[in-house]
Amino acid sequence: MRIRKIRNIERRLTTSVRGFPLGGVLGLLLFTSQLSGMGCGGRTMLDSLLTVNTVSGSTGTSGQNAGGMGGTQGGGDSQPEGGSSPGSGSTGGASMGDAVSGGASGSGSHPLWRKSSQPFCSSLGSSVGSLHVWSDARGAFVLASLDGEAKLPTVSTNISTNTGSGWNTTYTWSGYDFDRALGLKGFVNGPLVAYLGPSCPIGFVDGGVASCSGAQPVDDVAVVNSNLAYAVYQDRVLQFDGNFWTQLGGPLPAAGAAPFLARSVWADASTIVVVGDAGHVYVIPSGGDPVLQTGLPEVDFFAVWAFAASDIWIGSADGQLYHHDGVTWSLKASIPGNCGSIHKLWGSDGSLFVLTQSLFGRWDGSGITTLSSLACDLTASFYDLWGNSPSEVFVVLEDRTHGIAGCGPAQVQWFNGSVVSPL
Amino acid sequence: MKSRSPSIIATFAFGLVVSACHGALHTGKGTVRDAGAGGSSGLGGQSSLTGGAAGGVGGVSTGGATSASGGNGAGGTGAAQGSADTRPTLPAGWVPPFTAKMGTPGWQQSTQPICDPWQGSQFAFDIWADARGVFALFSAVDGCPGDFCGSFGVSLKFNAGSGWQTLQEFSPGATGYMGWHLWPSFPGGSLLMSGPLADQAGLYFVDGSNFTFQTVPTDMMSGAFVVGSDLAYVIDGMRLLKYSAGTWSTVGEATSSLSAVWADSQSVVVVGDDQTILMQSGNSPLTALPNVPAGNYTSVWAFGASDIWTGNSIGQLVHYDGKTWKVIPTGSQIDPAIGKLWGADGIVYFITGVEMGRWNGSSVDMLLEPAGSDHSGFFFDIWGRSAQEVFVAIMDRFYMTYTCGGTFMLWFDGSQFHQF
Repeated sequence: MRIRKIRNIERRLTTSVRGFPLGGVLGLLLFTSQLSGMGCGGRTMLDSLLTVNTVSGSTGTSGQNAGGMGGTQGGGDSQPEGGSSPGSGSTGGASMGDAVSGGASGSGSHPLWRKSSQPFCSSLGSSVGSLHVWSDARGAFVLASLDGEAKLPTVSTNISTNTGSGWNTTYTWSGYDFDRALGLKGFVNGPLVAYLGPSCPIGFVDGGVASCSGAQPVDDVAVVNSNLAYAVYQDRVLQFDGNFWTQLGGPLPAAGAAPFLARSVWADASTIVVVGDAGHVYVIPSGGDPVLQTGLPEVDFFAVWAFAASDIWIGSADGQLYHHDGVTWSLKASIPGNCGSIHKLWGSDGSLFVLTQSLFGRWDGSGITTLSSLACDLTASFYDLWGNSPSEVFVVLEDRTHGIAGCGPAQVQWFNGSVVSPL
Repeated sequence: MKSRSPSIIATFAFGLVVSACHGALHTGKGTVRDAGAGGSSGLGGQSSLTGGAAGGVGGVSTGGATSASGGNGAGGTGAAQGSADTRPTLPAGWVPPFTAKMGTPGWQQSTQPICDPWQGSQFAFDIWADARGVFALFSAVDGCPGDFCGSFGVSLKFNAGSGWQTLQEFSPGATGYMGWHLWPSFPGGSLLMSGPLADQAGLYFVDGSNFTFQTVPTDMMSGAFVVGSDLAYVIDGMRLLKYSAGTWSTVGEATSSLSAVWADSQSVVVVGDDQTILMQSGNSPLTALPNVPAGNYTSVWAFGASDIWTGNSIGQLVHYDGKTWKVIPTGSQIDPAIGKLWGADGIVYFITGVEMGRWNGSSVDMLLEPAGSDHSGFFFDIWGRSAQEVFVAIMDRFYMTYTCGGTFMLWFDGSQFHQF
């Protein structure tokens, strides 16, 4: 405690110096297309970097109706408003570029999603510190921390909400010690759960009012219902009972010499799955002891999603997608390359979506179909993934070619079951 | 876990500055500080500054203009080492960086504010008080803002109500300066201090100039609490140690780092990281309290096993009544960790990095808050003798470049703060 105080003094005595903005340099290297009528000061998009994808049709596992038509061109005037898929059963790779530059451009006359016609726009900063998305039937919510020259030395963090009629900033944190956001989840039709820096590690935001719910910094949160949620950090699992966050059991033991550092958690009413570094995967039955999973390589697992205790998916830092059928683990897919690390998984109705730095894809039963992709370089990155159904899935990304002018680098896209479009 | 014999193995007598132990006179060698300050003789020898109250503690020091500015000039020919304080005199007095209006300066008959002779980043500014008066330990390490500024060391000061006097001073040539702390001590008896004295870092009982080394594993000592003359606790990393009947023993060990301890004759409570709040009552083992709200706990005070107050790293007070927990936000957001708690008569005072407040029995009062965007006020410690006599140690870095530096002492009378 005393040492920390000394450090704090030293920190206050140190003048903040920020690096040269990356976007200004990289912007010279990128080819971007200018969208007309987009608002936000002539924002450019990454449509030229998004690819048309080939879909390998197959029967899906977990009951998803995979297999598709592939290469569906983005929709122009046919863009759905209500979030329903225009092509039921179609899981085809979408042509993002045409969709963006075509009718779904947010000109005002053609809504991008529901009745929302203007794309996400945040002028808070020139680089994304973190970017997260969560949704429920009410709409989509984005938690963004952006660093900006104009905002030094603080990091501006806010929540933007789109209930179908456009983006609005619904809460903003700005303070000396606020760290950047670590994640966003929510209670269905209830408070959003923003896990932030040290000043309020687990915050609830409800009706434009924020309160600090949990005092322990966490790495991930899984909400089950209004009276049950879990969070993980290091080797600990916390449980929310509607009132307090308390520790569930003792520390999760490390399997070997490497410590267990939890990365992600998934839960339903009867099962908790925690994944972390060095091959650590724990399945914790409700009221039971954690079971360390075997048969997995000692790699770092960053992402987990499950449809049941017998249908668990995990993604690794080296791009491996593993599945557990209740008995054994098996490798289902590999994403090659330097940007293949699977850092988010989300699923619904048997459809599993995958996010890496440069790929937004879907498990089609035999492989991962690319829904949209970014160049594997420093110019852009996908950050987070969530959805309401297989035909209403949201992703957030950073386009570093955009600086603080205009709408900045944070962008939102959504997938309607066949097309990925800006939102 | 290492096991060491809980016995006292060595006693050192230090007379670097002077040593008035239990009423003895003391002398010291005149050194740079005296010469530089132009005042080396002080007021001559003085018996124990405590005036015999409660057994007396301390060596009195050193005169010289650079010793305590209270003008009491106790003791001897002075012997403080280190560089002269060449900083300019504070031009117009201290303007506290807080919103609260200050009351009349002074405490009892003490009218001159405390003066820290050391220049550098403050490592420790610890205070403790008992019926004899108020004790303060300064420890400054190398490093002024942006530059080396040269005069760092350790000072132990005392105020019985008539002015600040120096009990001990150590410059870097005599001891290391990192790791020094004054902990809650034995009322009317020894001070409990830790430091790297004579290359033997650890815990000491200090009586006057006698520093009695305690052979307990305290390399990572982070808290202490004294219940009575024969009962004390210290925490060392993840361990809770107990002093009783003249010996030290290990009470128990946590699975995370511990930060603070409180105890009475029946119970002891320790808090730390990872929702750690452990209690031992009677002969029961040290065990975790149930359903502790998640968080990293930084401070604790209690009025018994069923009235426990803790503070966490995000500025929340967390109360346990023996059955249920209650989380009380203080509203602190800037450097919000509740560093210390002290209480009496059901009132619990707390400090964060830049704020001081209290639980008044039914709600939180913020007593000292930063004035606007001025966040230079920095609370180091808090202790009291009653709910109407609470002492607060403050570091205000904007004054580091003036004589006596940025360390300031306040006391709170229940309604107003006073500098002394």
